[in-house]
Amino acid sequence: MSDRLDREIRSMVVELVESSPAPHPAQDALHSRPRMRGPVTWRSGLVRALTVAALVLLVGLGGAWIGRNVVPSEPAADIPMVEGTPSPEPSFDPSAYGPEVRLLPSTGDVQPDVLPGTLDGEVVAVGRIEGTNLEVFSWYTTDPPNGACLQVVGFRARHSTCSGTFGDDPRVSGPLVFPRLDEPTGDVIDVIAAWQVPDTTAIVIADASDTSFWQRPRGGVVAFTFDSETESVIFNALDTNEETIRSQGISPSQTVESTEDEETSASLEGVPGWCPVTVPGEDAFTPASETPDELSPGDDAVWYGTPELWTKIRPNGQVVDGSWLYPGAKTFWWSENFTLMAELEPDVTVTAEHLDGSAPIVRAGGPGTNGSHPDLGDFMLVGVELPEPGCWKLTAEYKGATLSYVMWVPRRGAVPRAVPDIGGLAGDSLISDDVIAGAVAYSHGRSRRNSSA
Amino acid sequence: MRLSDAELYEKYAGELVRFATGLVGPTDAADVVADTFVRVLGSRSWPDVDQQRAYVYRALLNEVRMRHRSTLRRRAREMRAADPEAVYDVEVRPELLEAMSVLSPQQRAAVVLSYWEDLTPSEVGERLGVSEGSVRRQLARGRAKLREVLDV
Repeated sequence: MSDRLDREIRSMVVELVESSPAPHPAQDALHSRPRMRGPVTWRSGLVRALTVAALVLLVGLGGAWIGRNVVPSEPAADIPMVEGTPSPEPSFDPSAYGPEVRLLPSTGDVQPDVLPGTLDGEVVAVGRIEGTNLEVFSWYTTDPPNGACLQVVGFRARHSTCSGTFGDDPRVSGPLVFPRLDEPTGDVIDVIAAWQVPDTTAIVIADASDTSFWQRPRGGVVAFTFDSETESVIFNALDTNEETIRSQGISPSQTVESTEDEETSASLEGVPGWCPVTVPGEDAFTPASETPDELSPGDDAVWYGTPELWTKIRPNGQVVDGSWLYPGAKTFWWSENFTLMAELEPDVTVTAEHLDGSAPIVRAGGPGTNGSHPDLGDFMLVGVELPEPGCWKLTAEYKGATLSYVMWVPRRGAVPRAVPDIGGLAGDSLISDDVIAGAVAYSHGRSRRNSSA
Repeated sequence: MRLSDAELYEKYAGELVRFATGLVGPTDAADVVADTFVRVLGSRSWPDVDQQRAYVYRALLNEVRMRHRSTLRRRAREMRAADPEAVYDVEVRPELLEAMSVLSPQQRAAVVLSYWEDLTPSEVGERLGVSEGSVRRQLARGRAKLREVLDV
């Protein structure tokens, strides 16, 4: 069978290669770049004539337009821009791509100083994706307050387009759609990275062989490329003075720059390094004067928070099991300001923010419910159903007090070995070896913007 | 010894056109090679390149990747829809182009160099400037795809 397949392939390749034409003469190939597109038929001749006419018309209109609008010259864009409607946010369903797709954590910090001069934008995210038949897409979104663009990378979104506006760029008005590169990129996307690059006229993204793609940002862009062989990224950016700045050397060994305040885990098994899973310290909780000493969070949990609002989490890092992805998962909150009998439906709210994926923010509670337990005392409950696994930041608010922690939820395929107890904190910890991939760059950037807003 | 631009073209253009034919078909092959050379020779990093041959092969592969993947399929479709006179000039069967079109450019490169030039995965990797493991993966996936297409 294999021999026959080899014979068939060889026969096919030989037939194909033997049909190869002669190379263009050197003087033509190296200088005049002949464009031999095959025999000229009446149809192709008409197309060429129309194309030439359109180009002439465009040049004329462009010249007149430029005459009215004094703008700096800009590099020719390889990416055609046409009007269109923005596409929806790309979503990622890991189950659709098989178990081989993995987003690997990075192992170091991205050094912002690799982007000198005006390229000192914030590094939003960088990571590494492994899988099969991965594809790259670039996706823009607008940042309404600034009118800036954000470009992210994802994969397997062949039919999506990206869109954006370039703020007040006089050269561009209206929504734009950028047909993206939709070629498969092979097995590894080595870097996903995102930068807000202000005051930049254009960015050339180049790989090791200087294959270039022009972007035309204004007021911010994210730029990157990936080369699985050289493991490098090269940026050529033109600042507002049209000065070229070249930067390279981003590699998969570099990672997200964490700005979280929480204490983070040094290394938790199965948890990517970029997820700042909350690990409570010795003084994770200062008991209020009336906090009953006889109450216990359980063997595998500690109190965490302040007398105004506290919860219980795992002492060695808040890694929960997959039950958080199913209906019925509840979070438990305590406060010295909470009175069980007076607040049947306490005004406690919980917000869950997906730090590593594209899931929307989950809001729950407001009101919650109440409960009481001999060991746990009087508490408030809020049911939170997370739509996806990954790195989640939960923030509770109650009577002006706020408490946040970050936890890691393994993928849904991991069947819980034990029924979780309240809060999903007890029971066996199920840490899947699989790390879920997602639109990390975008989500991370969005969450930061949201959190800062 | 480093070759001049013209020497480099004279020496490698023929094999590169054959290689490109396996990637994009005969119609665009010479153009792809010419475009590749123009791009390579205009590159700022070109003067510092030691492995010129591998660099040009890789640049050619990138050039192909930049072109739309459906080029071969579209070409085959055009051939079928073309006038009989045009078909008369076609030197390769549309079925052949369609079969190759199921492969990614990297897979086509691995298949062509393996089956046309009888290179080992290691040699293919050296030619393309990629690892042997990468070649083996691309070759395996290419063969798997072709097995389906060829119904072998």
